[in-house]
Amino acid sequence: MKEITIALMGNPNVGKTSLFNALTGTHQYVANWPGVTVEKKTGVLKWKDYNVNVVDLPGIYTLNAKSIDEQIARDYLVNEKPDVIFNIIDGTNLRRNLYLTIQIIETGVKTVLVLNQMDEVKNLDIKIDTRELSKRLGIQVVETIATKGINVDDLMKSALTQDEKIKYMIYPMDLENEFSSIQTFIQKNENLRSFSLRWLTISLSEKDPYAMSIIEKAGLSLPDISVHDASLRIAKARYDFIDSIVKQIEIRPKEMWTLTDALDHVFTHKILGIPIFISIMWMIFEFTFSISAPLSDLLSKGFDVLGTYAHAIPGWAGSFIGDGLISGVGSVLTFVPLIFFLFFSMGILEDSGYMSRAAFLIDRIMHRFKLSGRAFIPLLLGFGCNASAIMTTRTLEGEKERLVSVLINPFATCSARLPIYVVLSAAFFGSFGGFAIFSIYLISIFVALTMAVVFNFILKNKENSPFIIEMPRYKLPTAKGLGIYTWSRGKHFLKKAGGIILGATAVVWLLSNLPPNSSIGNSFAAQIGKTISPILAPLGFDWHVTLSLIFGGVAKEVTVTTLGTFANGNIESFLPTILNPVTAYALMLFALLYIPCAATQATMKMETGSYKWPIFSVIWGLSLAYITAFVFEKIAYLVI
Amino acid sequence: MFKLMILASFGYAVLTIFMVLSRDYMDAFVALTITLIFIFGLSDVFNNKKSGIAHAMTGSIMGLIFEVYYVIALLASAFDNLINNGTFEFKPFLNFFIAMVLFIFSLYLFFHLRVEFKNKK
Repeated sequence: MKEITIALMGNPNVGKTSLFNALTGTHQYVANWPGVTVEKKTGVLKWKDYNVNVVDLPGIYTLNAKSIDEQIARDYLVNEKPDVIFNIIDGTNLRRNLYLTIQIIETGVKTVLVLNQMDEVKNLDIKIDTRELSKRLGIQVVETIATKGINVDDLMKSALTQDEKIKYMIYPMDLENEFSSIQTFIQKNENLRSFSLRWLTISLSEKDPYAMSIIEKAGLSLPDISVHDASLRIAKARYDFIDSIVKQIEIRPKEMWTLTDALDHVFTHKILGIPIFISIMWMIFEFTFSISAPLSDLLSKGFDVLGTYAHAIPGWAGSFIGDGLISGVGSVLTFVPLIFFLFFSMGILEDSGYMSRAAFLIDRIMHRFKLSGRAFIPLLLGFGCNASAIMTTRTLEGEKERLVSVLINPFATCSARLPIYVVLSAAFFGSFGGFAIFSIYLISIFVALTMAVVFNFILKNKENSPFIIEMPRYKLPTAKGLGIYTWSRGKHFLKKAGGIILGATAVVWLLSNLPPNSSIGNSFAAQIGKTISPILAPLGFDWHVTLSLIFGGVAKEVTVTTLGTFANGNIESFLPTILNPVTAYALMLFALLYIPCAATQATMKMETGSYKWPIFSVIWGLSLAYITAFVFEKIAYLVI
Repeated sequence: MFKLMILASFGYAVLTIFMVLSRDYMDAFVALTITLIFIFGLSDVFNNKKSGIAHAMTGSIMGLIFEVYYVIALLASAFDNLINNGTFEFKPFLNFFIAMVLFIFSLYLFFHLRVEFKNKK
């Protein structure tokens, strides 16, 4: 078996991950907005007698990387040096995509140009002469529609074909002459031999910070070679070269007005844009809740029946299965339809291409909170899962802006908190339950944005990075794509239910039933809860609620399973014995704002590189939750 | 197309009013937004600008999405009622009926406009 490594590189949202999935047979998360992939992913393809390591890299427009995700892609290409690069480009936008192609070719790594989205090229009536394109660039060109399957043989043969050595002139002679002095300097230093000579020469001419840092790390100092306006002249030369190619190989209809243009005219309208955004958000919210309600009720009834049978089993086993497993874990499993439909709805939002438009619309509002519209995407994704949403902040360029985005993300109410709101709303707010939950979502956005102002002030963040985002074409989400998205996200909930939630519930049941033959009021659980509950007593939370919130720190759903275990199977009639409508809503607010779950804290540590920020987030969240719930109750009791 | 747009605006305005009367305020807001999408495009259609078609197409697409969502939500609510109370109540029926008529109309409008949109290129 021969081993080779192929890396997938290209601009954001051109179909790299779709190609990766098609090559490796995996089901990595794919969506229709730029910046979905923020980390390096690897997979394996077995082809003939080749063992091919396929590496999917984050999208990048140029090798002059700024944000973390771009740096990951650039560093891999420069330092790891894969055997082959599949440079995936959007066939409908050659001019923009070929800039990166030229930079990749300059690194000297064998490159295959994968001309993707050829179905769209056909739809738009664009004609591309791929043979001529291959000739002009001196590399293999393969046409694909990655979302609809690929010809692996074609791609692999291109990867293994030796390219003809062609010499084409991109840069004018005066610029080439100026390069030669830098080239001589690099060739003289052995420390720099591991880097591509051409790439390093041009990057140093451009005064690229990463290239400059290589020189610094090697303990060298670049001779004073002033290449006048180099970066501008280099960029112009590259675009001139691209224009000459595109002129020769592409024919596109003169005036093109696509359905995407038509929709964008209205969706990004200065007056209609925001009402349309609110309408879409409402439909997604209401669709998720209404369609999952009958399924959740059916599951709930099923667990009730199972609980009755379980209680018939004599001794502790019946109590453990009935009160612990079925009443506890079952109270969370009834939310499986809700969680899956929430991700299904988010999948529609992400796959359709509307996410970028939403970010564009919210940009003006976000700037008032010293955040760019791009920071809105992690916030919106936080409604699914904070831990994975925090990773998407890698697309933000400003370091402090990114840190602020990480810190405010736990205030976006994730799907794990949803069961808490639903249980409390059903028990206390009747027909106003839906509105109570929607209000928590609105408060969640308000708190997150307000905290952005506070954190910007604390961190003395004066960065106000401009917002540039690509508007992808609108797409009708496919059933397969939505299925993969929903399952890949929703399965974590099932895993949690079978793992951490089950474990925590077993611990709660054990604490509630020990010492043996004691009532629940005298159990270890009650003793622990009663010891800590004075802290939360001013909020009207008794020991049951206190203990459930403590266990909820591990995973938010455990708050519900803990209450479910105490409730002996009837949580809706149990809750009014320990809470009233005011304290119930205060508990919803508390659950929204208090500590991020363990997974989110771990991601925060990973992304900020320090324990300081997750600890800060826990302390800040707890304080804010306490004050908010307390103030809310005081005002509510005054009004009622 | 001008007449079709007037008709669509009128239809969604009626749906808005009926939804407000049945205290379904957020859905009424969505219906009102669709009404406005059509109304904002009227002058452009009148002046034969291509942005007029943009409003008509977006309005019909938003309308189709809204009606599909609304019917699913009503059906789900009816089934939920059946599971919990044993009765299958399909309320408010008048809103459902108007939504269905508008769905068929939006579907016709979309396919009609698609041809016109291609020719407008």
